[in-house]
Amino acid sequence: MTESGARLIEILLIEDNPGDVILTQEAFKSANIGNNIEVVVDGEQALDYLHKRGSYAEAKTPDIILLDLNIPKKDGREVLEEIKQDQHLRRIPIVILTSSKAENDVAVSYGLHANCYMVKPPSLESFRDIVGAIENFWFSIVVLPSESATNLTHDKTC
Amino acid sequence: MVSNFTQLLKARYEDKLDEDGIKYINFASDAAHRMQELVDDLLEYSRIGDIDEKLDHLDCKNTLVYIQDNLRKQISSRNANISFESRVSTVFANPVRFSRVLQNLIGNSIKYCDHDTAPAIQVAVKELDDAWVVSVKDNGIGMKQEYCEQIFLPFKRLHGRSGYPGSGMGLAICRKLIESAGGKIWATSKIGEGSSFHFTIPRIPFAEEIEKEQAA
Repeated sequence: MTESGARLIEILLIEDNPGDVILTQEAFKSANIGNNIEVVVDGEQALDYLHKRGSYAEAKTPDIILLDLNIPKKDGREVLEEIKQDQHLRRIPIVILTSSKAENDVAVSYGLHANCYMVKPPSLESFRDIVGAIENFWFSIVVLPSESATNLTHDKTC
Repeated sequence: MVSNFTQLLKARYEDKLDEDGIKYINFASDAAHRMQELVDDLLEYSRIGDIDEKLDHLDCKNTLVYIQDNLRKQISSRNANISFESRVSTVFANPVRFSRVLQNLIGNSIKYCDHDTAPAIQVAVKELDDAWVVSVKDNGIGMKQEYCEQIFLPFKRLHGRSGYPGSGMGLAICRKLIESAGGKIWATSKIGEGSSFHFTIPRIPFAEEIEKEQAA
């Protein structure tokens, strides 16, 4: 149900569980806003994608990142930390979407500047609700900087 | 139960389902299988403290025969070769811990090997003044040095689920088994050049003599 000509929302899903990938894709299919989901399955791939390295040279900078914490190679915490240390990448909202309810994971994630932390729900219906909430909050309610504006704000030279 | 019924569902209704339906059933049965594996591994991890602490003189070659018997399916399907070359033939250790760790490391060496290469695994034991050092060296895919410590953390995995499945608990179990017996475990590796895993079994002064006297 996209308006013709409207740009698709680019979503980067960093998730190694193929079941969760399908569920997220299915849920976003019924979203009101046109979107394109790219999936990477481990932390190294995620950073290659975001830095447009190797086979990701043509990758689009995502509008939002959905990040699982327990992923192979570099885990979600390390990926989060690296993104938030990068001047250009750190403006991208990062939603932690994980099965961990551990207080420590919540605290560490916010400490590393995650934009929000969500626990994967056990049922399909609530999974759809969560995806709906992400879509509604980040793409209807929140105002995000445009790409050209971001480059203006933070490029202070020392 | 979940696993049984998803399998039954697939067997009975496969021809009535479309491609997506079959895909969903496969996800469900894979997930049920993984959950079972995870529960088993977590139980094993949590029960490490309950192991009977009795130490014994263990013949390394016999232990390897026992392990190869347990792993015979993997060994024959991958055509793996396991060799033992060492002047030390026995260690004084807890049999459950020793064989479990060694089996886990050998199992990993078979698993994390290029699929068109036959795993070649060398087991060696060195005797130091205060410990035995057991090494398992392989010709597998190896890993970056930066991951050599992290892989002993619970759930830490370096590969996606499709290529090398597993719960991510295997090496965490090994570490707990070794460290709770006073030993250390570590790895050295390079991508494409195989990995070496080493662990120590502390030699407790006089423990062997006391054991002998008690036996007598």
